[in-house]
Amino acid sequence: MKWLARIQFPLGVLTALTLGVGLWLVMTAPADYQQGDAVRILYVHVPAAKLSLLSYLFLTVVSVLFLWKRTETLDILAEASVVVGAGFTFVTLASGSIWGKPMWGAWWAWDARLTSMLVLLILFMGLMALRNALDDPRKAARATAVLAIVGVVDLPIIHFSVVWWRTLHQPPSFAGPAKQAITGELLPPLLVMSVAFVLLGAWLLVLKSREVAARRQWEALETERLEHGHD
Amino acid sequence: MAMTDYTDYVLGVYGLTILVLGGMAWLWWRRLRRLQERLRAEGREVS
Repeated sequence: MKWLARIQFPLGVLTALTLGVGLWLVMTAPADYQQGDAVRILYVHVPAAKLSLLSYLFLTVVSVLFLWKRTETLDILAEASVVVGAGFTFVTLASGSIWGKPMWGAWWAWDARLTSMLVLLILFMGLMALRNALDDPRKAARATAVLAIVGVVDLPIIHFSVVWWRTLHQPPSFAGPAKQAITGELLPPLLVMSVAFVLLGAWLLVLKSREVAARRQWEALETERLEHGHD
Repeated sequence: MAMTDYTDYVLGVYGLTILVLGGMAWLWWRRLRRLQERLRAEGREVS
């Protein structure tokens, strides 16, 4: 896992620079003619939502690879991506809720997009709970990998929920119908913030993976000590 | 017609995002440093 330690600092610098440029663009972007300054919530909400889905997609890929190759590095990446994904999903739901209050008049609605996103957060939390519930780490790794692969069915539901069902939520921001997709002066800050969030997600994943690896190394040392203590 | 002031909502979202993502990073960084110190104290090479 030494390669993770090597890439962490340059990745952190790149993330900070991109976030800085993104936030400057957010502050200088014009207010929306209908929403006013509330539109600035978009620049956090949409990138966080993309990262929630991207984290789960990454988790699915490493889970499939883990079941095939059975290497610990893949399991460490899977464990880390669950926590990172849960963080971004929470930010998506919370920012959407705060945005919903002034725009829709409600903090929450049992709408298809919101509900399927909540299911994603519950899935991430379920994966964390399942890993902690099983004493045998190998069994826990296999069980969480299988559950993660089964749960991927939620991703197309989230993505197409605004197309399949009549919802309060707006259509996709990037690839929606031409009249409703984000364009013009709102697009540059959204694109830069999306890149910044991808970099931030990668940096958080590296940091969490290193922490998981160090924790497992420490636990292995303690087990070794206990075994020697009983000899 | 004057536009409604949404500053509190915007600041709330940005503040919460920094708190959640920054808090996670701070917590993991602190845990990593502690674990690395313990492992080094035991003479283990930190991966």
